[in-house]
Amino acid sequence: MPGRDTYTPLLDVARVEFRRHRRSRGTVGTLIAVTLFCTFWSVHNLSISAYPPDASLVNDGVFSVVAPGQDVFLLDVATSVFVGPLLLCFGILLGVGTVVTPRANGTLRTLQTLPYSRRSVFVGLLLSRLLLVAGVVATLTLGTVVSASLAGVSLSLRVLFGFVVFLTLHAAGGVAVGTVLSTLRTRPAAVYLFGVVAAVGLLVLGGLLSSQFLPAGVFAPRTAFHVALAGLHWNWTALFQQALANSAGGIQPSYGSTAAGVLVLCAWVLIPTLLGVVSYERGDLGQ
Amino acid sequence: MSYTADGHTPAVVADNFTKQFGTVTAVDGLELTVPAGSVYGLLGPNGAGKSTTIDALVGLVQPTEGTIRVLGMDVRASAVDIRRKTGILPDGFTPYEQLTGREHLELAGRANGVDVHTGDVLARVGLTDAADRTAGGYSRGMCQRLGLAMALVGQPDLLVLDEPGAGLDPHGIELLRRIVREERARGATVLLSTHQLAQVEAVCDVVGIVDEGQLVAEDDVETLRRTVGAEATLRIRPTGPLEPAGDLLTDVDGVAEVTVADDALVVRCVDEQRTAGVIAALERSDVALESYEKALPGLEQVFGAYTDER
Repeated sequence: MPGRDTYTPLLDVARVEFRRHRRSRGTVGTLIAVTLFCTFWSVHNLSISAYPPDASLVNDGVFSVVAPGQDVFLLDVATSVFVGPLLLCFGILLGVGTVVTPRANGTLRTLQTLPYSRRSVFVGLLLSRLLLVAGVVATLTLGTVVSASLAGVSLSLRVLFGFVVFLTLHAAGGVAVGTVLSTLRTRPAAVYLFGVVAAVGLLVLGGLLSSQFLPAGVFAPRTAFHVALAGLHWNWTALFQQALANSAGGIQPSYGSTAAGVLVLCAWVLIPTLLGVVSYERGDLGQ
Repeated sequence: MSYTADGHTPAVVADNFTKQFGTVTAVDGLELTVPAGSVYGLLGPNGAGKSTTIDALVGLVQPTEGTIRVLGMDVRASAVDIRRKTGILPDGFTPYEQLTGREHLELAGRANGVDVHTGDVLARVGLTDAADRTAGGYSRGMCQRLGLAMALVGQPDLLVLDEPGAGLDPHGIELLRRIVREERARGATVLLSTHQLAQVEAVCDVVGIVDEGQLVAEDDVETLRRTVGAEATLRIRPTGPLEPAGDLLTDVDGVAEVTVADDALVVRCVDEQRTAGVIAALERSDVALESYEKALPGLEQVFGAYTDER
C-alpha cells in the first residue's frame, strides 16, 4: 500500500513545480488570459440570457429539461464551446509540456538526480498542472457565480459543486492525455504537434463514435461530461441518453447512465496517467 | 558481488555494461570497478561514453545489456536507494530559474530526508551572497557551484561529478579540488568524469580512460605515465650561447634528441634517471646555467596514447 514514501516525494515535486509555475511570467500570463476569456464569456452569456424562476431549456441540442429551474443556467454554460471544448484543448496543450519542457530545459535531469522515483516525479509534475487547471476552473466558476448573483439568478450549491467537479475532471482528462504525449518524444515541437492533433481528435471523437455506434459515444470526453452533468438533477437528461432510452423513456443501457459518464471522465484521467507512468519509467533521461 | 582486496564492497561495479541509442552504441561492454573510498577519474574524449555511463550509474538511462551495482545495490532495482546515498552533479546541471539557491538546497534536503543548514552548504561552495537570488540570474559557474552544493547535501557515501569543472573560474576549480579532497577524507568515494586532464591529475587516485565506449586503460596516474614511456624532457637556459652546450649534450649517454626552442635547449632523455647525467655533464663543462626545468610525461601523453591509437 502506498505510504509516506510514495506521497511525500510526489507532493515535494508538485510543490516545487507549482512554485515554479507561480513565478513564471509565461505560465501566469497564459492562465490569466484563459481565465479572463472564460470568465468574460460566462459573464457575457449571463447578461444576455434570462433565467426566470420557471426557466426551462426544454431542448438545446444537448440537454432536455423536464422541470423549470434557474440551475439550467449551468447547463447552458456547459454546452458552450468556450467552456468544455476550450478547457479540454487548454488542458491538452498544458499537459504536453509536462515532461518535454523540463526535459528540454534540463531541469528534469536535475529533479531526477534526487532520490525520487520516476513514478513520483511523473505524477508530481502532472499534479502541479492539474492544480493550475483547477485554479482556472475555480476562477471561472467564481466569476459565473458572482455574475449570476448580480443578475438575481440563484444556483443550487450542490449542482454548482457537481458542475465544478465534472468540469475539472473533464479538463484534467485533457491534461492527462497531453502528459502521456509528452513522454513520447524529446523534441518539444513534435510533442506540441501531437497535442494539437489529439485536441482536434478528441473533439471529433464523440461525433464519429455516435455516428458509427451510438452507445460508444459516451467514451468521448465531451459526451461523458454532458452525461455526468445530467445526473446532477433528477429532471435533466442529455439527448444522448434519450437516444439510448427504451420506449418507456428509461435510460436502460449502462453506458448511457450518469455513472458511466462519471466513470468515463475518471478513466480519461487515470488511463493516460498510467500509460504515461509506464512510458516515463521505461524511457531514458540522457542528454 | 565482487569485493576489493581489503574486503570493502566497491562503490561501483559495471559488468559488461552496454548502452545503445537506436543504432548508435554509446557504451560497449564496459567493465569498471571503482574502489570504495577512492577518487576515481573517468577520463575520455567527447563522445567516449563517460556521461552515458554516469547517467546509467544513477538511473537516468537504462542499460541495454549488462549490470551495474552502485554501493552494493543493483541500479535497475534500487535506483532511488542509490540516489539517496549518492550526491550527483550531472553534466550540464540546470537549476530552476525561478527558485533561489537556498530553495534548491531545501529541495535537496527534503528529497534526502535531512535537515540542511543551507547557509553552511552555500558558504562551502562560495554562494553565500547569491543564496536568496533566483538561479535564473546565476552565471554558468555559479550554477555549477549550486549543483555541487546540492550534491553535497546529506553527506553522501558516493559523489558522482560529471564535468564538474565546466564553467568554473580558477578559484572555482581550486574550490572544487579542495571539496573533493575533503569528501575523500570524510570517507566518501568520488567518481569524477571529465576530459580536463589537469583536474584528474590533481585529485584522482585511480584513472580510467574510456574511448569509444570501452575502458582502454585503468591505473594510478604514475603507472599510466610509465606505460606510455619514461621519457623526460629538460628545458635548459645556459648563460652563454646555445650551440656549444647543444653540441656537448648530443653526445651524452641517454639523450635522444637536442633541439632549440624559445632561446632554450630542449633535451629529450630516454628516461628520467638520465636527466641527472645531462645536468652533471653541463656542470663538468664550462657551460654556466641560468636555469633548467624538467618535464615528465603528463596525462596528455597518456590520454593521447590510449585514445589516438584506436
